Amino acid sequence: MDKNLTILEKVLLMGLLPLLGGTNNLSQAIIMAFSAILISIIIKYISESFTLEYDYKWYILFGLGITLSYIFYIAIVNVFPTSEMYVNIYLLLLGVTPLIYIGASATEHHFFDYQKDFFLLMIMVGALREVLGSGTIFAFQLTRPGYPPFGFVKDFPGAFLIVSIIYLIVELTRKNKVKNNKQDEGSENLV
Amino acid sequence: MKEVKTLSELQRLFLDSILSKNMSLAYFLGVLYMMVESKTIKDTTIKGLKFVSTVFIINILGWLLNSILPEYYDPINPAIFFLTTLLGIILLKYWGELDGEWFGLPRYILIIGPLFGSQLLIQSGNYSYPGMIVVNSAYVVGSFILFVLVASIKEEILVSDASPVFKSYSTILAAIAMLALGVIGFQLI
Repeated sequence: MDKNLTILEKVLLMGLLPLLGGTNNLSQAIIMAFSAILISIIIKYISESFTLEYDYKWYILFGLGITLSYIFYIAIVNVFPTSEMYVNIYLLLLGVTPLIYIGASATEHHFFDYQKDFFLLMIMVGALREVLGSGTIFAFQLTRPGYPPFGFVKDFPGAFLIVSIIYLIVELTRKNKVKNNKQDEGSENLV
Repeated sequence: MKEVKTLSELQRLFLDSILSKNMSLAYFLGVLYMMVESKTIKDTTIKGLKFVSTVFIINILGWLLNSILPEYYDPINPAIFFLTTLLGIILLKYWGELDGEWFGLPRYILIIGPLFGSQLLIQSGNYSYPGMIVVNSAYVVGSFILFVLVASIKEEILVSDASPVFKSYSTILAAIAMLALGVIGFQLI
């Protein structure tokens, strides 16, 4: 299942924890996405200056990632007290998310594509969960108060369901693309 | 520290922690590890036993260190949990797990989330010793069951005649979502 994955599919896997846990609403998703991208960029540039042995390098990077996510966690709560309700344990757990170390990977390139896809996915999952689970968007009421379209979406089963649907859409689009490419190749051969 | 006094309180805590507040199902810790590392049911059972034993030991160690140190050291808890997480990685590597790479990253990155996160969850619960043991046991039992279930779903998907589109992680995630809905339903009853 891990073979021949596109960047978007890898982002869905590597960023699974914040995608599931940090997307209760759109505001939270945006805070999480920005924090994750900033931490990834810092780690990418620091890792480039490392000349340590393989294991030691990664242990130090993981320690750094956890420290940075802790700093972000404290800073966001203190600098923006109004955003405290959007910050949860998953901001602290950004340091254990594989995606933020992608800049230090020897085989994975296109660092900014990973970050762009992650940001878009976070926004999409956050918006869908807020609209379907609470009937609001940026806390602005869209449906009758107390009657969200699918209340369970704001809980953990909804997180799994929304991410699985998005993953399936990504897969379907990809298969279609492969099919289209094959058809294109076939038509070129015919010509 | 939260004092858990009666047996019924402990039973309630165990049921909550195994189902609706489980570290893997409700807090998503270890779901990625389970999805990527699960192979056949037999292999996964052995792998799962190693995984849950490590989580169990590390959680007790993290809780002990957190309890021994005075309260004003609480801000350094993430550092303590990180060190115990490294011990967990060393233990799993000693057992021959998590060697090699995963998308250019060391494979043991998959285990850092559940090891570190479960310690944070137990710390945030502020449990007494019996409470911690009950929650920790429920976490590992629930996680082990989920791991084996994920492996069986994965095995079933791979041998099925379904379209290749459905032979992906999306189906596993959808199956976990259905399981989670069942758990929520059980909680309501």
